[in-house]
Amino acid sequence: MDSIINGMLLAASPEALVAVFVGLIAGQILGAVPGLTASMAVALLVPYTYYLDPWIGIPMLLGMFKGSLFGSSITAILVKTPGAPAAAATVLDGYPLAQQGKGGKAMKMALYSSVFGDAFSDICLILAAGALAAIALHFGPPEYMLLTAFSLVTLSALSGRSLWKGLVAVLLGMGIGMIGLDPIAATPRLTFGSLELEEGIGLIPMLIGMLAVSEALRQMEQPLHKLARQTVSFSRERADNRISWPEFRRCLPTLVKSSGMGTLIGAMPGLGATVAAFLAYGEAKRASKQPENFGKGEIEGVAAAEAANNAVSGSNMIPLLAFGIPGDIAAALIMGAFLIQGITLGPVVFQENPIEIYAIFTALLIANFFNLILGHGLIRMARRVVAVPKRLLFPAVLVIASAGAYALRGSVFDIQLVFVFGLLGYAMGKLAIPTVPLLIGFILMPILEENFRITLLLASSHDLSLGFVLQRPAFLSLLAIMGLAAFLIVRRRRAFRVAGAPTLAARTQSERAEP
Amino acid sequence: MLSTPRHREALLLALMLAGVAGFVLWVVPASVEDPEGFGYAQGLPPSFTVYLVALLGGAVMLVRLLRLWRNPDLSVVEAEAGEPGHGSRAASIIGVCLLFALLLIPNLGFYPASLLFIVVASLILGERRPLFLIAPSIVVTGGLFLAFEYAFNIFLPRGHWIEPLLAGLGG
Repeated sequence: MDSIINGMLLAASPEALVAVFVGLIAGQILGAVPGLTASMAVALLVPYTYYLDPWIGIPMLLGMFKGSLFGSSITAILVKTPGAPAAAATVLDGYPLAQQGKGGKAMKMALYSSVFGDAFSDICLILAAGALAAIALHFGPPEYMLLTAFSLVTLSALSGRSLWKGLVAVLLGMGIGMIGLDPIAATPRLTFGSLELEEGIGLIPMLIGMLAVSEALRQMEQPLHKLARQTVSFSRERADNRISWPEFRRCLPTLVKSSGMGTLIGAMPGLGATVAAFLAYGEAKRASKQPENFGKGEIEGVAAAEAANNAVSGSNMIPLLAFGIPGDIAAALIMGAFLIQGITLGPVVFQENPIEIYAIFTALLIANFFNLILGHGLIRMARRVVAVPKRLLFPAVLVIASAGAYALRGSVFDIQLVFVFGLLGYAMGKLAIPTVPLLIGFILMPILEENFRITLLLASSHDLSLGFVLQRPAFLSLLAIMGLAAFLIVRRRRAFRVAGAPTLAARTQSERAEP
Repeated sequence: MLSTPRHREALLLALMLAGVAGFVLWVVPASVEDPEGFGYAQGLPPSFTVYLVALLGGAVMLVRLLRLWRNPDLSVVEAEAGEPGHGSRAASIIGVCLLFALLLIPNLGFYPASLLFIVVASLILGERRPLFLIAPSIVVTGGLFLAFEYAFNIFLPRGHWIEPLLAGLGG
């Protein structure tokens, strides 16, 4: 008990509170810059923690990490430019809402969902770090393979109206995801001797290109008088600029479910916030009574994506604190900061450094509270930035996005990729081929392929039989859960048809009939 | 010939199928080398998944093409119109973007290239007031310079043409 009180006092000291505050402000602003991810924001601060007192440096890092996750959603909503890959799913409904003048509502939902998801996973971390980490440890390559394959199939539902175009986009994304070194044999694939391609295609240049540059090109085609208008107009209606309690209550089940999914995915090293956000979005769409509203400005879509991607931030500390295994790059960097301060994370950390651990837990919760307050300030600032005319903002966005794309790997090639993918996205828009399935295929392919082929390698030690996976309780449990999910999806679709829902044909014709 | 959505979609599918064929017959053999004796027990050869994804893509396109052929009303229902736009301005902007990424940044360096790009792009988009052409480009480029060079210690590309000049000035 003394450890808990001392830990709380340590985290609530004025210096630590100021550190969280400063970290959050810096994180929110950095996160809003396309290309500067949460990991990068943390990486930029880690060297400075050498010179700071541990209880200034570590809370500042945690604040920066959380702030940057929320910050990345602002540009995703307003200018279709996710500050980080994790906010890519937020674009799907956030941007249409902004186009309808409801950018204020979308940003506020993103803020509340971010804080909700964050707090949810922090509480899970505090209460059940050991248990969740033990579950996550049972997940090996066969389970990752199954989970990724299932995600790929279910997320094809985000393919828009034409199924074949969605499937082709997924497969194209998977093909692009294979460029680089083979994950098992480490031989170059589809690189034609290019050293830059051997590193693989970066996710950030691709995301910025496909979402931001293609949208900027599309917007720049508008008549000149439209380009002279401000980039995003905000409705003057109060209801379009706030989240009412009934709206929040309607989104609450989605928030809880998405936060739970984000927490579980965050506890598994290697999957990450982007996968969590897309999975939660897909599930929210599946479970919704109006799935057809998703992609057109459904506030639940913003809630699902933001709650899930932020929930990953707390739970990727679970394997870190429990076993000393970082769940992603940001967690690895935070681990580095702890090591600098002489704290070795792992199973014995609760015995050896209980005060520090409880101080971290307290700092995480304090950071959530401050994030909620500071987020409103960022929203107000963002509204002013996007009040400039499109013809001035879009060239600036392209330049800032290019700098962000360069920053991560220090490669001019990545800037060039931004524009190549921008053109690809633009061409796909002209051909009405959806870009989101391509991104999903690209993100999931490396995880799927690596785990599939490692599973085959494991099979070679079981007489080349894949039957060994059926002896794994985690695989069987996952299979049962996915079987149930598939059954529910099929049953729901059948019920939808029987209830006389408009067919695709009728829907399309009625949409065309509208002026 | 291409007056109906069905014909346009069939042409798109045919072109994409030709692309898949070219990919399978030329791109993959030319760019993926499987190590000798690398088989199922070693976790499959590197080319396996590439062929698998390409063939799945081809199969999806073929099925769609067959469905189009057997059901003439299908494309009338599902074909989606492309987005309208001002073609010449789009072409100019695309040209400027490519010039910026492929020629200006590698040779002139990030900051001078960005200054030029913002001015030229804003001009193409209809901005004519000199102050509004110059001020945003200086604010954005200057802001990026201060943030990246001083706060983040990330040095954006200097450019092949500028580097000798900077070296001569002792920069």
